[in-house]
Amino acid sequence: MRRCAVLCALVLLIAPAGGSAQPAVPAAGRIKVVTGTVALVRGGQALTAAAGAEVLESDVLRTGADGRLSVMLKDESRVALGPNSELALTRFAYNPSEAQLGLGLRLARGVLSYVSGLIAKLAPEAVKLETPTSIIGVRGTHLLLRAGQP
Amino acid sequence: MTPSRWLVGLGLTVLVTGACASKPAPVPVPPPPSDLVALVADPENGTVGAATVSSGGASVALDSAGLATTIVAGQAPSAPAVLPPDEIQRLFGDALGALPPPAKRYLLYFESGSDTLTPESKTLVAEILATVQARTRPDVSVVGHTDTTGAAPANVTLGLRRAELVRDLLVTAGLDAALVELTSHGESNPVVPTPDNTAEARNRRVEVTVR
Repeated sequence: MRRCAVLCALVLLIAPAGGSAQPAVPAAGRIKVVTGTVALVRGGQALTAAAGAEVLESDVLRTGADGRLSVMLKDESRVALGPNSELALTRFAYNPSEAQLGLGLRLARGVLSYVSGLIAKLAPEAVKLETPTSIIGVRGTHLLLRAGQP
Repeated sequence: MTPSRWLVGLGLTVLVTGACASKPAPVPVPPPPSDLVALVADPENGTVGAATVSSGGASVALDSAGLATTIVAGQAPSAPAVLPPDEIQRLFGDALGALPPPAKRYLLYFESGSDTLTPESKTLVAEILATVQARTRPDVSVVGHTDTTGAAPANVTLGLRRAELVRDLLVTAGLDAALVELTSHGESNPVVPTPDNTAEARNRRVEVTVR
């Protein structure tokens, strides 16, 4: 009985961990350049944001005072953050053969360089960039955003 | 706060209040937080796109290189004005410097009615490998396409077979198979739109994209 309880507890502990280790969500892109202090936050947990790490929808990217980071998304969009920045990938859908397209980026603070990719080309209205004060519709291709004073 | 500090603070407050009573001193008001959006030329091909910035129920259009607007919460975005290049560099230099190189696309064609690449396309294999090797943790997508000859489902299968052929050629030449993502668009994504059941060499292709 006691052994069973221990086993059950173990199963309960392991099950969610196993689930999160293999995300069902397909990767939205990959981190390409990292310098200084950076973080990748997924579901409230800080993960290692090394070059080569996958980025998923809903992830948040942060840079410290000496940090820079860039990501290549699957639709060939490119985003790069300067220091003291925070960017959320609020939406990512890229499935052209089924017309599922969407990209949402929310810059909470700092600076962002965004070069549009195929989602903006195929469905410009499906791309939404946000800062704390504004919403930006994109017809391509290269935009610079700053949230808050430098 | 220690009592003596508190007393000094109180004294200062009395002094300041006294000064204000005779002549109201201008209290420095910090500027409200504002955001900035700028449209600049594409870093590779120099083309300039467009964007619409909306806030406070109003929108402004950015439609030429260097135009920028400032936005204060709840207010309309400012009229677009040119942000000088040195300001762009000062504010955005770090982010611009971190941009990865753009994705690179290669089109490979097949000899008519065969599984053999054209001689020109064969020479691209080495070029694709060189691009992959030059990049930080690249992803390679290999997408097969067909013309509209034959049934659509059969063309999805044919497109996939062509994509697999190209993948195998790349892997034989030294590409890590784990980097490759294979797909087929069949006849649904032609370079040259045609009516159904039209043979068109330019649509019988495999697109290899290195990201």
